[in-house]
Amino acid sequence: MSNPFAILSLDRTATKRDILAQVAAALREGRHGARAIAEAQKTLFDPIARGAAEFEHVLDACASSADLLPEPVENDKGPALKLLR
Amino acid sequence: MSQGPFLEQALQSGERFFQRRNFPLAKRDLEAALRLGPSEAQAREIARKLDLCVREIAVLEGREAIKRGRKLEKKGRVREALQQFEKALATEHEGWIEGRIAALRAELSRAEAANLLETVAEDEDPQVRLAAYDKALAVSHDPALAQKKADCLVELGRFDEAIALYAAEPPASDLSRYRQGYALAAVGRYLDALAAWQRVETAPEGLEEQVEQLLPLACREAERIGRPDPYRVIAGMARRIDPAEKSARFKACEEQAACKQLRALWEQAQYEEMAALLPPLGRPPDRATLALHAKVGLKLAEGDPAHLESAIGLWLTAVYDDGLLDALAVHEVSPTTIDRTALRARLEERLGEVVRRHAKEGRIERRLEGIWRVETRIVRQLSKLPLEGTPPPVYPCTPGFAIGYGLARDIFAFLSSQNRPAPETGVDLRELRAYFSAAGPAMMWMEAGEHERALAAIPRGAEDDLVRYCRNRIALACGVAKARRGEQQIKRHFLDALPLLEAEPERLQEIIDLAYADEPSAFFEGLAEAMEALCGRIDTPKFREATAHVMAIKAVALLNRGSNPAVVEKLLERALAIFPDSELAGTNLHAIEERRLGKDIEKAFKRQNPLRAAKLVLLSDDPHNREYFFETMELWYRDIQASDSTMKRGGLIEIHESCRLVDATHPLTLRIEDDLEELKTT
Repeated sequence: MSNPFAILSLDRTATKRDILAQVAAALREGRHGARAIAEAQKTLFDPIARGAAEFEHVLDACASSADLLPEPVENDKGPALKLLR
Repeated sequence: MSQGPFLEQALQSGERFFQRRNFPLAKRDLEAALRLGPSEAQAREIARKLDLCVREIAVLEGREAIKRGRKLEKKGRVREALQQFEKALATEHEGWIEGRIAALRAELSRAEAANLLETVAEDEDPQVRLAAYDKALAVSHDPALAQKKADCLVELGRFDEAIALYAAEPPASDLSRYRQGYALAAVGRYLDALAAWQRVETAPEGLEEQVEQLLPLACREAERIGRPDPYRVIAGMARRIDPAEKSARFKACEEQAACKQLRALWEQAQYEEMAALLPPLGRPPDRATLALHAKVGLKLAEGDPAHLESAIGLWLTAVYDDGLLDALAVHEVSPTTIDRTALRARLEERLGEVVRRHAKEGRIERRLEGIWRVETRIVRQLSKLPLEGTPPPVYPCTPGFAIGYGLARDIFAFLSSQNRPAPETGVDLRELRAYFSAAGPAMMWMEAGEHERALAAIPRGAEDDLVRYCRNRIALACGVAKARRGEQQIKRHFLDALPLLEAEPERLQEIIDLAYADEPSAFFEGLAEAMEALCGRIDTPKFREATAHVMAIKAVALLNRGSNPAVVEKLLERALAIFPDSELAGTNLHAIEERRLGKDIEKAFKRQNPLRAAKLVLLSDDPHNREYFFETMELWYRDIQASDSTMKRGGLIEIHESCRLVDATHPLTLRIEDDLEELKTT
């Protein structure tokens, strides 16, 4: 089962308007076959199929890490490292 | 005073030495002769010979210098040896001497450089050390010196030059590896810096803090690159650091890098590598991590059935997690409410397709199909069970998942506190409890078709109702499986399962279906015996009918094997006693009776007893027996025709009596009557 979000370069919150725009763009750019694009569109327009595709293909690998990436400590020239002996 | 005799003497002595090639003494005497006023001609001759002497002496001195040079070189006195060879070169212009001189000069330079390096080694000024290294490197290329020079350049902040030197010669010491990383970090190549530091065997004190400083920057750099490889560097470096030394900030960076690596690997479909990097599920399992494991598990199982068993538990448990389904963005963008049941069915079907495909291609064992069936059935039932109280974490889940992640005990306790659900829910609470009880692994083996292992896995000691239920279930499954294979020894298993079959008569249907299976008669022999044994305790009409049916088929199998008809007849009589209306048993019994009558008729004829044969034909419904009787009588009739009249009459009377008993209007009966009339008249 191919990933309709990847085929149409969409994220999981894409609206119907977004989908249509990306379908047109994908067809124009020829990134994928017309059949694959049509199938992706069909999947995303069917709520159950879309839900199943989202469940299967969208991986939230960072969901379990609550903290965001800490800000680096650096000055204008980069990190303030002291040469260790 | 005339100097003639002295001159002559000097000339003679000089000439003698000259001839003997003793050039130094020849030179001394010839020079003395020259001072004593020789004639012009003598002076010219002396001068010529003196030239020769000087040249020869120089050659001799050169040879001596070479000898001395060699001796000095052997003694390690390089500078003096060099002087001797340089002296020799003045008279002996040979290539090898030049080579020696060059080698000695180089050696001398090296030694001088080494002395210099020794002198400056501890110098705190990197400029001084750098100058010494440059001088030494100018004499000869030494990778170790080049590294030291690079280290010096780092101290001087000349990072690009240092990086170039390190790139030409991979650092061989921890100090150089550290400084290489430091230089790379200084020019903003954080990932390369971490890669260099990863190679440091004994980390200098304080490296952890510096790694921590670089981690966020390296993460950003990796994100810009957008491939999984850079994250490998970060993860590899983070693994090198002692966990006790990691600050909260360090751990946060490490976690972020790990999840971003997973994301990059997911996008590039590198699932095998992902599996090795997935964070542990935790106890109790974390929901988001469960989703990760489930998704990766599905992808792995698609390609390799070896991952299927774990994927089944993970995927179904994730699919039945309300929180995961509710978190889908589709709920926000869809104009209609998403039917959770339909969505779940679609997701369940997704893995079902994978299982079926592998099964169709013969890539999985039947046990996996069994596991798929039971995991699906049980998690569905759990999701339908009306709940009283708060369920344990990760509820509902499959039994395989619960056993694997140590959740079964809590779920069992929770299920034990639940009231029996209404029958219309279709939930069998006792069965659910069984799968999550201590006997759960045994039930899983049963579903996998490994009944012997299942029986062995039943916990010993505590023989409570649930354990007995499990034992009964496994016995029944074992019996049914054996019956399906047409095996003989089934009765024991069905009798073991009798309490379950009495309590849940609907389970008999599986056995009943087997009784009507389209199989050769021999297939049913063991089943017939087992079902007959159950009939003493089970009074369901359908089951009794099926038992009589299967016993009738067994009768056919026995007859085909040439068994004693009397035994078969008794079997059929027992079948009819169980279910008197059994058509097949009745028909078969009748056929056997007819067959026995036929044999008895044949026997009566052999014993020359046509009257008994006739009486037996009257008992038979089989037209063949009647035909056989009259055919035999016809033969007897013909044999009698050749006898004398007295014998003929007696024979005809006997045949007629028998034929009349069977059929008074049969043509043979009528013909015999005519013959008897004719005999009377004659």
